[in-house]
Amino acid sequence: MIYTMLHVTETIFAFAIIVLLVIILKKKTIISSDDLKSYSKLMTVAILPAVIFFQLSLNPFNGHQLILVLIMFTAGILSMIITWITGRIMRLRNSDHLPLLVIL
Amino acid sequence: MIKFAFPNNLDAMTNAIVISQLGIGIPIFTLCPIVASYYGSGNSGFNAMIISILNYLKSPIFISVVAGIFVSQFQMIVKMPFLQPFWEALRMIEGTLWVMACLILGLQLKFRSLRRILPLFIVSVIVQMGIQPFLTSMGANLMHVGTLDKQVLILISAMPSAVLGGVFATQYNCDSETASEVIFLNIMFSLIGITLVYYSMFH
Repeated sequence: MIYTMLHVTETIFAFAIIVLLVIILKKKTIISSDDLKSYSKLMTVAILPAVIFFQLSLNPFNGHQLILVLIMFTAGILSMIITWITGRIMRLRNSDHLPLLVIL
Repeated sequence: MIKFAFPNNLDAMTNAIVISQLGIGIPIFTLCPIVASYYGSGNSGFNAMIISILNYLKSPIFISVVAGIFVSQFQMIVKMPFLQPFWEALRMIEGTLWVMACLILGLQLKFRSLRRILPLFIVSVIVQMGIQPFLTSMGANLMHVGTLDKQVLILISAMPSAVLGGVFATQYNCDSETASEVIFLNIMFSLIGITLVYYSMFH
């Protein structure tokens, strides 16, 4: 268990270091929030489609794995519905609902 | 994560790759843009949802999902030597994915009001690291899935929020700053959350 947790800790710290580096670069005005839209467009139009195609092409799945995928997919959809209902109960605005639904 | 949780277990690794690519990847790449586009358009109702779905069906992301699933059925062609430079190029592009996602997340982060974020963060953590693994476990029991597959499913479902949510929020004019703040807190909390899920799974 300790090795697994060490690995999780390492990954999360690596992530935090990259985000921290970006914040420092932003403070030093080397990169700017004005570029956000073009970075996002680059991601959704070029990088993500390439990665999705690459991963799906190289990982064909069988019937047994399809059941596992369906379980995960269903749990994800149910979680989104639960989140949406919770948001309604908490009287969240649409702008608050979105972050919750999108990040799940 | 799976490699460390189940050392030397090729089945666990193979299933984990397929589950994360299809069971988590496809919902992220299909539902995220639709939800973000729906809320980001500022319009609500059935028509707005239909427009969001139609826009998604024309997007490069959807085309790549369909093309990827189609091409995966022809592994003889996929593994041909003359195609290797093409896959290597895609592998290089894949290497930039998380750096770009972290770059976008870091640019969006502002931490304006912790009081406003806190309820969203609490809900996201409860659903992401509590309800979702529980639902996955129930699904695995219902479908009589083996113990190893069940553990892989639970562990993957307890993973923190995808950084890509912030990317979709920016692209579709949603409240990307709030999304990024919640995602960042969610990932940092996973240090505790994943430990708890992992401990409860094996004890």
